[in-house]
Amino acid sequence: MDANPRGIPRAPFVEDVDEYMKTDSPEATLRKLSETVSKYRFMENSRLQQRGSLEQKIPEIEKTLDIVDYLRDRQGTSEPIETLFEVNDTLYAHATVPPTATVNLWLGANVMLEYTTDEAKELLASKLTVAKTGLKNAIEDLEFLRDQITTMEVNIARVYNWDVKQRRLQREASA
Amino acid sequence: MSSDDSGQQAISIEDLPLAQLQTIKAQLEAEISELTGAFSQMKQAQGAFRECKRCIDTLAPGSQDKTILVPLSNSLYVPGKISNIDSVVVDVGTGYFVEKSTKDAGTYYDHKIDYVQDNAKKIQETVEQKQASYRGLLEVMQLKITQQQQQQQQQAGAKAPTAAGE
Repeated sequence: MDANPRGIPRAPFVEDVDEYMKTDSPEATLRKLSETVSKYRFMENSRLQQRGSLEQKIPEIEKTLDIVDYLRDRQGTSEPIETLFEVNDTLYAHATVPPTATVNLWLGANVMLEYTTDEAKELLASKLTVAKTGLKNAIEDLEFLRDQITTMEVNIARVYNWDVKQRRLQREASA
Repeated sequence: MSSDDSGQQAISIEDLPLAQLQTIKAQLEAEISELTGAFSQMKQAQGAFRECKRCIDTLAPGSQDKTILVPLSNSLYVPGKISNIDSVVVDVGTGYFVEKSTKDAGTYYDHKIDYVQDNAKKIQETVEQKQASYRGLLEVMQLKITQQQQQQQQQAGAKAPTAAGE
């Protein structure tokens, strides 16, 4: 497999360093290999950030989904709920919430939409699935990238050692 | 603390070599930046408490039974009514929540604001002291550097006539 499902290319392992070094100078090869390693590291960073943000968002979506379920179940009754809501960081105030067929969801970017409880449940469930898949992919990518980075670092070490050996042989030959 | 500081300054003016002065300078710089960070955190905390106080005022007498969008989670809002404008619940820390009348909550936040204000003032005083020590230190260092340069020039001047004399 030359690339993982998200299109990250697999790092080639240099089997025969002598063959590999016939095409380019050691400096140019080492530079190319280092560039590839930094590209992999950049991708690793971005996957790490993705994973962090998804791991934060998923519990929030699950909580909101639970609350919507609870509201749906109470729709039949005519009893309002007494609740405390957050006014500010350390301040909460009392409110009563009558049974309602609609809820408002904050979608971000100054957008809030009103949905029926069923629509809201569907929307949140699909958001949750997308987030969970994204998290699974990010973790898979991170494992794959770890392997490729190790392979490239091994390549760099072998090329470097080959270069050191060559220089030593040259020195001994000219001495 | 201040007698320690002035004691330190007296020693530095007389004895310490440039290298040690550099170390003390770096130490003072680190302390000053840490204290300045703590000071701005205090200011932020004060701002947050002031904001909370302002929020209590929104539960003014006219707002009983007013319809609002009640946040039930960070992205879910439901229409509801303000049910009790006379009492609120305050998070006093370490997982404790206390129900207070709106007036008492206002007093509570006032106390918090004053407490943070006092701490901020103390930090400011310490920062000013450290900055004064720092400035004194810089002057001494400047003096030593100039002395060193003069010495080096004199040595170079002493060598040259010898070389010319040969």
